[in-house]
Amino acid sequence: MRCVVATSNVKVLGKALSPLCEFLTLGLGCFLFTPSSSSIMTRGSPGDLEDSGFRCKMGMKSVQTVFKSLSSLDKTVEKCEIDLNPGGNRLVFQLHCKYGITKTHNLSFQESESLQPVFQKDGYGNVLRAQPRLLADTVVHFPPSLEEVNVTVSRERVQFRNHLEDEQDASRMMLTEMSLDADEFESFRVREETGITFCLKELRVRDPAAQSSDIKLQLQCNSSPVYCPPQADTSHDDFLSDDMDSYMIAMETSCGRAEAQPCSTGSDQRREREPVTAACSTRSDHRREREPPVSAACSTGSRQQRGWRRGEEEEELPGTPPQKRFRSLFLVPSSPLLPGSQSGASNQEVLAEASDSDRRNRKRKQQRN
Amino acid sequence: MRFRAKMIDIGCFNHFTRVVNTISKLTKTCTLRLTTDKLYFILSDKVANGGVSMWCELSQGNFFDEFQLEGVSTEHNEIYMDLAAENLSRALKTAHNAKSLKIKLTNKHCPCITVAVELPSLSRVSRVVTHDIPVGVIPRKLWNDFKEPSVPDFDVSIYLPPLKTMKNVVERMKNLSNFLVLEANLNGEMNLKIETDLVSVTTHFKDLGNPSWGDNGSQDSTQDRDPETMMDVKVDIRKLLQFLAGQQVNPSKVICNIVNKRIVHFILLHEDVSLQYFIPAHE
Repeated sequence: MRCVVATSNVKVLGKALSPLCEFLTLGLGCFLFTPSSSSIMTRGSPGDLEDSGFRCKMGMKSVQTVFKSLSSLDKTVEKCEIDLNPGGNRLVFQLHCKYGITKTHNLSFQESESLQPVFQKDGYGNVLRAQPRLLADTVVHFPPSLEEVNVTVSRERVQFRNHLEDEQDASRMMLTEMSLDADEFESFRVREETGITFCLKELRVRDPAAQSSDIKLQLQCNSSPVYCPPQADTSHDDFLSDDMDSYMIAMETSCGRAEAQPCSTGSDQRREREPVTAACSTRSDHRREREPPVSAACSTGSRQQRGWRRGEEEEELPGTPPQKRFRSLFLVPSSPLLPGSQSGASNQEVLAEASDSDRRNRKRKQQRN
Repeated sequence: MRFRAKMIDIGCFNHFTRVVNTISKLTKTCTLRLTTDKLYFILSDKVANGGVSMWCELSQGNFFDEFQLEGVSTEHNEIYMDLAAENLSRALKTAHNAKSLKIKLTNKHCPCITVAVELPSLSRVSRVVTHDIPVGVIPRKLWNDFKEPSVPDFDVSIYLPPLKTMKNVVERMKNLSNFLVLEANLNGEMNLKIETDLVSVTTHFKDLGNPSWGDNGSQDSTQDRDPETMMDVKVDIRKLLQFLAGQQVNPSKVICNIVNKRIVHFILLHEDVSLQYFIPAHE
C-alpha cells in the first residue's frame, strides 16, 4: 500500500490536518481534497480497499509534527509518500524535499473500526446554502477560543451567538452576536424557526477545507444533526466529489419533541459517486455526565485509492495513542419557540447513533466520572 | 447614565483601533472615563501593576460623528468604568471595513459597553455584529483614585530614539538581565545599560534633542547643572519593553522625563491622542 501526494497538495493536506479533532482517523487518506487525479497516486492491487477497509487512528500531534510549518512545506517538499512499513506496525510519512533531503516519520497508529453515524440525510426542513466565504466572515468575529455557538434560523435571517455554559458567568464574558440576512445565502429554505447549538470548531475546520477547494457550504438542520454535505461543482473531475466528505455535526437535543429520525443501518458501503457521509464528533470534557452519542470516524473512500492492506496485528500496539478520548460536540439546541433560550441538560436524546456502539468507551467514561 | 456614540469614518475606526490596541498591550484592565469632550484610558499606580501607571486622552470630536453623554449627575457629567481593553480591541478588530460603528452603554445581563458594527453585505441589508463587553461602573466616591498624574519634577527631559530601534535593543537586553538602567543628560545623550555578574552592556544614543518646557520650574533648576551630567533610573526591563513593544500608534516624538533614581515618565503625542506612561524605579 502506498499513497503519494504531490507538492501542491502537501500543503493542502497539512492545512486540512491541523485543525482537526483529537484523533485523526485515516480511512484511506483522511481528508484528501482538491487533488487532481494525477497528483494522488496509489499503488497496490485494486479492489483491496473495498474489501479490507483498512482504517487506522493516529494521534493528531504526531501527524501535525510531520506537517508543521506549512509555508516551508510548500517551498521545500516535492513529494509526500504515505506507506505502511513492512512490519505493518508503523505508518511511514516520507517527505521528499529539495536538495535530496528526505524526511521520514514513522508514526504509530491504532487500527480502528469505522463508525458511521446513523441518521437520515434527506428530509431536512431547513436548508441553507452559501459560499464558504460567508461562513469565514461570520466566524472571524467570534473569539478563536470559542467552542460552541448558538445559531437561530428564522425566515428572514440567521443569527449566531456565542454559547454560554450554564456555569459560566455572563457578567465576565464578552458576548458576540451576528446576524446574516436571508438574501446573503444562495439558497435559504426555512420551514421552521429553529435554534441549535453546535461546535464552532468543526465549522472552522470545515471552512478552510471548503475554501481551498471552492466547495459551497450547505447546512441542513431541523434541530437534529446539522448536515453539511459538500456541494461540489460537478463539472470537475469526478474524483473530487468522491473524496470530499460531507460533514455532519451531530447533536443531542434536550427537547423531547424532536422526531425520531428513521435510522438507516450504518454500513461501510460507499457508492462511488456519492460523497461519503462522515461525522466528526467531539465532546467537551465538561459534559461528561451526558450519555455520549458515539462519535464516528471521518473517513472517505475513493475509487482510486486502493491497495490498503489490513494490518496483521489487531491488538493494541505499544506506544499507540490512548484509547479514543471522545469529545462530543453534542450540544443542547435551544427550543425553536424561544430562540436563544438555553435549555437544560437533562434529557438527552441521541439522534444519531453510531453503527457500532462503543460500549467499552462509554464504560471508561463512566469510570472516570 | 447614558452614553451613545457613532463613528462612520474608516480612518477614524483605524486610528481608534490602534489606540485601543496599544492600551490593550499595556494593561489587561483599565478604567475608561467618559466626559462630554474626551475619552480617557486610565491605569492608576496600584501595587498590582508594579507601580506602573498610564494616562491616555483622546478628544472625542476627532473620532465620533455623534456623541451623547449623560453622566452620573448634572454636576459630575462623567462616567467612569472598568473594562478589559482586550475585549474592546477584539470587538474593533474586524471593523476595519465597517460602514458604521456604534458604541453605547447598555444594561443587559450587567452593565455593558455594546459595540455594534455595521458591515457591508451581499444583500441590501447590512450585517450587524454586536459585542457586549461587560464593564464595572465606578462609583463617584472612588473617582479620586483616577486623577490625572502631574508631570513630575524631572531632572532631565529628552526625546527618545526611534521606538523600534529602542525596542530591538531592549528586547535583546531582556535576555541578559531583568533590570535596565536608563540614563540621559541635557545634551541629547541617552544610554541604556544592563549589568550582570558576567557581562555589562551599554547602548549609546546621541543627538536626541531635549525638549524645552518653557516656564516650567524644573527647567530653571537644571540651568545650573552641567548638561553632561547623566540622570538615571533603574527599571524593570519587562515594563519598559511592554511600553515599547505595544506601540501601534507611530508618534513623531516621544518625550522621556527622568527623575533621578525615582521614576521615568514617557509622553507620546500623536495627532489628537496623548499617552503618558510612568515606570517607577526598582528599589
